Amino acid sequence: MLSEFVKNISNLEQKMKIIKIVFVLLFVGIVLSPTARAIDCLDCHVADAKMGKGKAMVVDPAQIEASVHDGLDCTDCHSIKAGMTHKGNRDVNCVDCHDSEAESFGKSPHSLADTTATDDMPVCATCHGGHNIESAGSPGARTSHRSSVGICTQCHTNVGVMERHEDVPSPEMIRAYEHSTHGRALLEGGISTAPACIDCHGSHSTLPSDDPSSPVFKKEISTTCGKCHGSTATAYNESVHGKALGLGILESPTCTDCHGEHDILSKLDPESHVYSINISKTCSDCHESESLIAKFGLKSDRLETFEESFHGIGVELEDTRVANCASCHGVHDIFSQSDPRSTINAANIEKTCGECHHDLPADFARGTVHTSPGSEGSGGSYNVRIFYYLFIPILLILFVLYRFLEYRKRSPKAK
Amino acid sequence: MNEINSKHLDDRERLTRQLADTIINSTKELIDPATDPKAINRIRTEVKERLDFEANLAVNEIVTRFSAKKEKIEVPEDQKERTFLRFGKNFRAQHMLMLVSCLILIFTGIPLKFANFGISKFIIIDVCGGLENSTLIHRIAAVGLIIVGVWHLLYTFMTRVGWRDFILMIPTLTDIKDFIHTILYYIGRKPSGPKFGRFSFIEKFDYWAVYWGMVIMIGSGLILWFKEMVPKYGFDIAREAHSDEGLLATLAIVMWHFYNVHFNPEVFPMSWVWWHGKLTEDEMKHHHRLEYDEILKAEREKLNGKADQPDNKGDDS
Repeated sequence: MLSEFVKNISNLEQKMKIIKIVFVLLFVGIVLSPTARAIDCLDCHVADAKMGKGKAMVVDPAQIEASVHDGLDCTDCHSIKAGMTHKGNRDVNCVDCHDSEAESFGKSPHSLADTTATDDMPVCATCHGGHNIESAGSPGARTSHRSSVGICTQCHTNVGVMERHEDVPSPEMIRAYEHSTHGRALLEGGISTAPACIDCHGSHSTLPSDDPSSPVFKKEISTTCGKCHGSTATAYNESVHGKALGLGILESPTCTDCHGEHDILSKLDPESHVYSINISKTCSDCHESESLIAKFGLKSDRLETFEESFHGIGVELEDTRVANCASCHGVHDIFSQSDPRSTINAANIEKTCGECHHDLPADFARGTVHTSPGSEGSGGSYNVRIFYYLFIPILLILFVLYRFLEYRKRSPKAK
Repeated sequence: MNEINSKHLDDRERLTRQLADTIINSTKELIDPATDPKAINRIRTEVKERLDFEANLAVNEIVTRFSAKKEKIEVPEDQKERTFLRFGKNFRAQHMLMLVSCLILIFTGIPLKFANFGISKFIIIDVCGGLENSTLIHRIAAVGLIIVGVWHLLYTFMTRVGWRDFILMIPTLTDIKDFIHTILYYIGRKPSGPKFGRFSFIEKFDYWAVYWGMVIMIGSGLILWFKEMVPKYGFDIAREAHSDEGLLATLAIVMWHFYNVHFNPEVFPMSWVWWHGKLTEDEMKHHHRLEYDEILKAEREKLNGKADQPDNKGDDS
């Protein structure tokens, strides 16, 4: 039978017939092939009685069509590697295409799996989603600028998850962002340029703040903030604080030391660290610190002498008009007094005072600022204080003594 | 009046009877039935009489008190207690302006010296509405005090009484003697206190303390007010002086002046001389014996026709 058929093929007409059939079959195969591919996986992975119990295995083709990955094969992501069975093929392979992102993510603490609670660690899909993955650029996307905050807070404000890990900031600290000026602008104010978590911390690498290559490493913070606050960061970098930090003195304050980290508020908010009434407290965190005073030779009685001055009294009594530290020393552009650019340099001090006190005489600035009548170096006011501090108690004692004698004479018992 | 009284008496009669009956009825159960009915009647009468007596007493008391307050008892001119005018209207007006100014200045000034106290924050922030208001109030009161200062200088140098009192105010050796005398008296070394003239050393101290305080407070206050006109070190001195002298002045007012005119048991709660300017004859004899003697002497001489120089002290209104 077979030998007869082979013999017959030798007939040219017969050969042509077979070739035609093969071409038709190939054509049909090519036309039908995508459907055939989809049908292959989705024959099984649809919600029906058979697959119903394992929901993860159920795939909605509409989701894939709507996603940015529409057009990819199932196996492009769910690649079947050598030796892998169908059942074991649950790992998603993003690296093949997204290699640079994968490299950044590889350095992140998120990928350096914490052996105690590996299940808490995010993978690509935790943030980006699975079959319904969208481009971060599309407005409604899960990973869009505004929505991305929700992805981070999902774990980082979850007390249960955070308890299982050390060295992560507390949920309260994370939540402070929502009330910060940045958080409110982005989440409530609809200002899409306001920073989300990823703008400061990075998206895939998210390095901890003690890593020198992290955007939130102390030396890098002014650069990170400067992405938006450019001129301010430039002014800061020139300042005595910025220069010191540049030289590697990590005690020197950067943006976040004064403004706060997640809880950054407008300077007009009474809760803000840089609200006019709170500034003296904020500066004093360092300038009244005994260890820093000793280490860097800072002048030690700055807060005390300020509080004694009328400006300090005004701050104590919650008057926002009076001068605070920043009014005289500058805000971001603080320089050493010896620097000619300094607002408190001898050449500039009169102009600085004149910002508030108009029509000053030429010699107004004669005399020392940050002087306390309690210290001998303050000249005349020290003598005045000593006089009164002796005179008042002596007079009071004499008053009381006189009244006592008078009372004793008057009271019937003494007679 | 009589009608009201009779109606009143009727009412009372009825009430008394009712009360007596109530008392007897409620105690009936306690009375032994074997008791003589006459005895019960006697008790009834006794209760009635006692109630009547008490009611009369109460009514009389009330009527006397009310009528005493309502009716001005006219004291005949010759029986009136003699008074001596100590402070004239001009002087009392100065004192009033000074009193108001000083209280406001202390109220808005002392909290700044103790700015970190809760009460200071309450006064400045909650009562005054912030430092801006409190300093404005302080300056308005300061103008009042400056006016008093200038006014008093004019009063001293332009009026006869003012000049005479100023001369009498100048501390003398007698004041030191009086002071030592007083101390000796208080510790039991002298049988009686010293006799004072128009101004005792206590009053002189009060006066000159204010004089001194006014000079310092107004002087340093003006420097602080017009701080743009002085160098910083001058401002520092003025601020320290203003702050400390303010405290001293406040303490002196409370410890010395308030004692003299408020807390002293003789005058508590307050001597009203600042208001009406008068002293009674008793007060004159007790506190200003020498002045009193002088006045009486002058009057006697005048009556005898020897003196033609009237000496009506303090009357300058």
